[in-house]
Amino acid sequence: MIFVKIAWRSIWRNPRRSWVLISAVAVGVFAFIGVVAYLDGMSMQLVKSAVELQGGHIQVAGHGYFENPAVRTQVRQMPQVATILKDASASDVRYASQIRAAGMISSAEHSAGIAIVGVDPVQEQQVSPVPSLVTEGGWLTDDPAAGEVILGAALAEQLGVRLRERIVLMVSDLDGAVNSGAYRIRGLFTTSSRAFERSTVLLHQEEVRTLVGFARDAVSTVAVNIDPGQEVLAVAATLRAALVGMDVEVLTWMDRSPMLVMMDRMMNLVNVILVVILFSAIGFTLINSFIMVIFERIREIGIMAAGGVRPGQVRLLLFLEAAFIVVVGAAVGIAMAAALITWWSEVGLDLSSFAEGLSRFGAGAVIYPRVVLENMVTGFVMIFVMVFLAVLYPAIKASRFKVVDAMNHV
Amino acid sequence: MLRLVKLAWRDIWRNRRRTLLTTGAVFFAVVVISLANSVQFGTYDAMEQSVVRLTTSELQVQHPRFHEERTLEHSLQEKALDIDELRLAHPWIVAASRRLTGFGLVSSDSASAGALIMGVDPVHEPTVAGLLRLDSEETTLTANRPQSVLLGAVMARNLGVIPGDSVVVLTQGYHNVMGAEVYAVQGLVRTGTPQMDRATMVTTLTAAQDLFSMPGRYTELVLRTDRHTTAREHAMRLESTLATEEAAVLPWQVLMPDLDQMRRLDDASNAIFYVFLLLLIGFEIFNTTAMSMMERVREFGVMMAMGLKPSLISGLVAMELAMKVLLGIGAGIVVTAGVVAILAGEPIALSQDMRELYDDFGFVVDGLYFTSRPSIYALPVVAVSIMSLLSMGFPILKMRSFAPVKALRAA
Repeated sequence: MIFVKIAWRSIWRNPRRSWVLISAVAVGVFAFIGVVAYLDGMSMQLVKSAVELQGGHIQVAGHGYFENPAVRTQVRQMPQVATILKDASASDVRYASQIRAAGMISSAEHSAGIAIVGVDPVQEQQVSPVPSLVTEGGWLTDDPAAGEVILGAALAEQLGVRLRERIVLMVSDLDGAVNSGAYRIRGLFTTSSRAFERSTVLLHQEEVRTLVGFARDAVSTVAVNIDPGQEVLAVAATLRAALVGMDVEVLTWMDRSPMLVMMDRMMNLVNVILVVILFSAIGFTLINSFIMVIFERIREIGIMAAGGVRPGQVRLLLFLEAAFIVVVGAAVGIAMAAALITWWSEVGLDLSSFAEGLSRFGAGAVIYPRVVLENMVTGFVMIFVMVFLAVLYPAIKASRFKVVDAMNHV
Repeated sequence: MLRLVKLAWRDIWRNRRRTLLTTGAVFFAVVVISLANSVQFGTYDAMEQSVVRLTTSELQVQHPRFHEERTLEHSLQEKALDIDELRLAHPWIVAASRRLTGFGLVSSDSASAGALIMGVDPVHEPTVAGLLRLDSEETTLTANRPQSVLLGAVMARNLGVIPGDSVVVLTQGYHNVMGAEVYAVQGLVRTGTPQMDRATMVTTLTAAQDLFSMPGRYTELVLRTDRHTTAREHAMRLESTLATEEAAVLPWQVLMPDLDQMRRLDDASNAIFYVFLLLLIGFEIFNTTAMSMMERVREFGVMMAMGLKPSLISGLVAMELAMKVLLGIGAGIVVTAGVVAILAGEPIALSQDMRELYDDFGFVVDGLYFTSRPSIYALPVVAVSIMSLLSMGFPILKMRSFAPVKALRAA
């Protein structure tokens, strides 16, 4: 117990020296929390924006739709499915139904193959990022006969059409007959994915229903988004169980997009490399500082030894001091990082201000930090281990000095 | 001045441990940042190259308006550009092939779908872009079977056709002439990109020219060059020598803005990482500088008592620091260059998962690549030098208010 007291006093005896160490720990902790929260936030952000663009975290569709997205494969009882979706999930699940068909879009001069997506303008706003990505004009109104469409800016460019101009959609209906309709462009959206922008046309669900000939309660797919706290697989399993008998399939984004899963993994791998680099830098800083400081005190340690303190006790003392310093340093570092992250979570970090040409990523380029508890805990354990190692060598060395040499050391 | 240099040089070797601390911090900073840069640049270059060589290739010669408005009216005439002449004048062009790209509606008995119709030169296409994988037996297109086409695998499934079946293709061709043709499905194309597999039909250039009623015309001349990183320069050089006004040369960055932007996004994102890393390293350099200054208070007191001016002492300290920093940077570059030279030859293979990814999608990188290009040292050298200069300010300021008597008494 006396050593605890001595150690505590001894770190405040020479505050300058202790602050050097404390600040080294604090800056290390700060940098590590900042980087890890940033990397976790970023990978989630990129996956999230890609997933939400491509039909939500979970997709409910007619059985076999994923394998072959034919117009005949449908969710036939949407009202019942909607009731089940609401009942099956404790917190509020957000969903949006869509009718999808492959077709052709033509302007006066050009034409292109596209996916026609019939949406519920109100539901869609809660699930898809597209309504918020309309950069010209406006989002669809909830008028089933407005005759208006939303298309990607890149597609409009390709077709040579502008806002409020007319385009023709051509699609083969459920009986195989080719139907067409003329629509006015209400809005243009811009996303990070040019492929999506060039291949997607959105309009009111009821208009597509008439065009393709869907029954009153039928839709193609239902996109379901969950809250960040919920586990995708668990919610999907619950929904799958609840929807038994509806002749539908429930797929998560991981089932539907192996490419995204791979991208996610690839990014995690790169993140691991970055974190390893960061930790080696933190470790170097800590080891460097602790060695420097302990070697400064050779003379003092010599005097202690002359006064009868045994080598084991010298080591104990040095470890206790290091422990105090790590605790104080970590506290300071956490406080700094907490301040940074609080501020950062509010404003977000807009990557497009760091590099030119990223403006089209829109909200996709704004990164919000995310604190993943287990990553943080791992980091702290590593910092403690590194400090322990940093103290180990000089402590052993210092406790073995010859008393006279040490006292004469300048 | 020379004496000051000599004095500083001796000083830094007098206390080796202290020198090692600062030099080590600088050395470590240089190694870490340049290695991080090396793997970042190297892996991205490798990924870009593999995507570029699969899809657009490095350069394309197109009608100046084709890229913005993909219509057949913006096409080129075969006679206007001679490929052999072009390759003779620009030896860095490794391979060249013409394409005709248009749109149409492809129908089977049961369904129909919009498709991108690509007419390619069956002999040269595989030498410029690997995406269509025309090299396998079932997907080899030959000029002597003009009524045969390849369909995207997903599209074929959605249309309910298999190789051997036939499809009807409707198009709006050159000068809006309607085209209709029946083709036999010869094989399936699997690119790994669902969007493409869902809506692509490939046929020979001549067959496409017939379908779109535009004999002797094409939309893109695809050029494979020796290096993808110099595409912009190559494009400019080539465009200035083209005989015709009616053609533009576009580098892959323009053809695939997504890929270019993905890299910019990643670069921007890494910038954040470097900010934290530099903060840490800058702190470390400052710390060792300040510490070695504090450690030597007594020594400076003695020097002053002997008549050295404070300005001279701060000059000496600055000189020592400069030497330590230069030593650290030099050693860092030498060691990194050595490590990178070993690693640059062969990529560090990624896990099995990643290899499967490579097989499935035909692109993405199968390993971590290191580059040895000199630009990897730019950030570490500049950043470390600036941080060292900033930490020099501390000892210089400190020297101004130095009291020799107090210093002499310092323990």
